[in-house]
Amino acid sequence: MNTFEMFTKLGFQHITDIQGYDHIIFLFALCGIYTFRDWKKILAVVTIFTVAHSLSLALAAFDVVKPKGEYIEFLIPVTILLTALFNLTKMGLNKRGNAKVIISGLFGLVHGFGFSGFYRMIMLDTKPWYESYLPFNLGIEIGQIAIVLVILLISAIFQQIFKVTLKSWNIFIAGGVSFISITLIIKNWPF
Amino acid sequence: MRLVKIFVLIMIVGAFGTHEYYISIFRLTFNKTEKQIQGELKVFTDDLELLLKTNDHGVLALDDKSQKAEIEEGLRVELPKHVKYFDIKSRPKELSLVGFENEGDLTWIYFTIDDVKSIKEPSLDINWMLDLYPGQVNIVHFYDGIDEVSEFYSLAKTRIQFIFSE
Repeated sequence: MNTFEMFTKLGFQHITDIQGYDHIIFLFALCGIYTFRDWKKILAVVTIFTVAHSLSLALAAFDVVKPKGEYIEFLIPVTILLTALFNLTKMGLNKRGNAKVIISGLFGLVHGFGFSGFYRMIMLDTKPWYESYLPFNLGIEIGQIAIVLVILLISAIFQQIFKVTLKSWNIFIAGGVSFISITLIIKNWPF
Repeated sequence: MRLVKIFVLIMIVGAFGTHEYYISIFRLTFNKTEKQIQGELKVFTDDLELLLKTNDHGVLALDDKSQKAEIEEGLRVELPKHVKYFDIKSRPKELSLVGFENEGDLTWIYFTIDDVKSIKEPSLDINWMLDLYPGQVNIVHFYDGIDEVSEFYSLAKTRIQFIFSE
């Protein structure tokens, strides 16, 4: 395996690791109410999330900013909980609005700091930064697309096959995601 | 009702919380002129402290310079125990500790493998940290001076033969 393949695989595995599911449930909170028909909005949400987490990953990995790991591990479930609660508002349920895009960008910065702890471990000081940074981000991106596709599929099954209304589905996602994020907040409490 | 059941299932899953990632990075460089492989192992400091403590080397803090000798003594035992190098004829070669450097949550361990004339098809047997964390992944980047080959090690795969075009 060459270095490019290795880092792409590491990025993919990092975000799709089911046992480290905090990023997965954040994507669920962000994209859970959409269906395949809303692909343009999903594309905007996911693209902004990528831009934001790539930026903060670079800032932390290259020591421009040094956020403390324990605060980031605490803040990640906080962003997930806030997104889940936002979903319960009128604005959160509005598929056409841009609020989710903004949330995705702001909270994506926090998640990028979360990726940086892992990235700092795997990066090679002996190689130019782009030889690990770019394939690692590519791997995260591919993993993210795969996760969103699975989320959309689950959403389609519930909304279109089981005829669950958008409102009920939204409450279900918000409830489940809130519960998980609260357990993570308690577990990662840094104070 | 179906949603309620799934919700309960999610709650049960959520109650377990996420896990930390367990990973170490090896980089090996073959120096043909010196007939030596120069190795570097990057580990999380807390993982390494736990490894030394678990294997009866005492409670050591890697950032405490007064404990340097004890830490190096521990590493001299643990490193060859968990990392083994074999040449093409499956003859083992000894690992020698050079030293270590601590920088906050990360620690670098430096070592050499001497008397290596060629690195055609060497094998590396690595079970580093697997006693502590069965989910541990060890990544090896092996540079022969021209090409670099990278491999994943895990509990399911602890021995890999590297093929270089030399």
